[in-house]
Amino acid sequence: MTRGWQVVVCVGVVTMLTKGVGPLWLGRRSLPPLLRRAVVRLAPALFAGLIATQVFARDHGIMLDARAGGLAVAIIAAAAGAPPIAILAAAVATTATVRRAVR
Amino acid sequence: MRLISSNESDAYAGARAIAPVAVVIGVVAIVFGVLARGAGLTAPAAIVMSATTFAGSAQFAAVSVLASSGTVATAATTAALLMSRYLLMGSAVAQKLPGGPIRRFALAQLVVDETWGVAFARRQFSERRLFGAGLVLYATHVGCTAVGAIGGMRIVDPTVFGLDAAFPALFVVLLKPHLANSSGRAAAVFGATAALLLTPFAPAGIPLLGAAATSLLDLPAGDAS
Repeated sequence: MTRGWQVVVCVGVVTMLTKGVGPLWLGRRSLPPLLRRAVVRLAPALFAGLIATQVFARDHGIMLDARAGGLAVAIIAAAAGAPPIAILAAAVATTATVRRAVR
Repeated sequence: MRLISSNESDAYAGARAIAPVAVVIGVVAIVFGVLARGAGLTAPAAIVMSATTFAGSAQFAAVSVLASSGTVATAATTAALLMSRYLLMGSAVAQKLPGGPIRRFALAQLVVDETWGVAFARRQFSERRLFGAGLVLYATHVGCTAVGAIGGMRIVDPTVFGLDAAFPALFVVLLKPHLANSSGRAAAVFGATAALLLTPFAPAGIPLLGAAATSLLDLPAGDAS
């Protein structure tokens, strides 16, 4: 099985179980408050972690390159309330342009 | 469709209510199809992922980790952690979904933020609205992934086109609503800082786990959630 299929199968099984486990087994019980608050914080922490590693990390180093330009434009566009597709397009175009200019 | 026994208009109401959202989800799914191919997934793999993982953020997270040459374990763990949110929704869902275990398990798969919102329209939960909205959104999600994965250009080197910038930009979009309160903002700062601090020293995958671990920091101040 290729890497891609392994991820597809693992994530698919986990997703179905996570969505189904509540209605089937959790019943009316709810998670303890501490865990509940941690789960709420998990999404912003992970999204920020994904952004940081995919923009500034290469192998085991921190580096500033064309990807940072794309991120900056994405943040500005998002803050200005641009639609998601415009944010994506602006970030991709900026990164490609900066990369070509630097080369 | 045996799930709807009577009063089908409720399912149609759900389908109609979700239509504007479905347009947006459709475009996002096309983008997923294209980027999944760029990350090395085959078209069938991308389509099966959308069919089995009806949760855009987990899909994008997993595929983005693969694209940045992360391991299968990191990709799956990151997606699993993002899915943990659905455990919270689980108990709320459990109290509303009727019927036997198989039916509840199946209906629960249709729950995403948008369909949950439609199911609760008019302050009253409707299983049929959830079903109608869920079915439309699910079909759009899987169908548009196929369009992107099959029709999208075959990307040889995503970095040439700046496509490696697409994933972070997408996470900016997903992160934005969480920054509305101070707890979310603090979580984002801690997550990014932990990931970057760990990058030079830790083996692959650990920086993201470090980012996730910061969510266990239960600071009394600024906890607005």
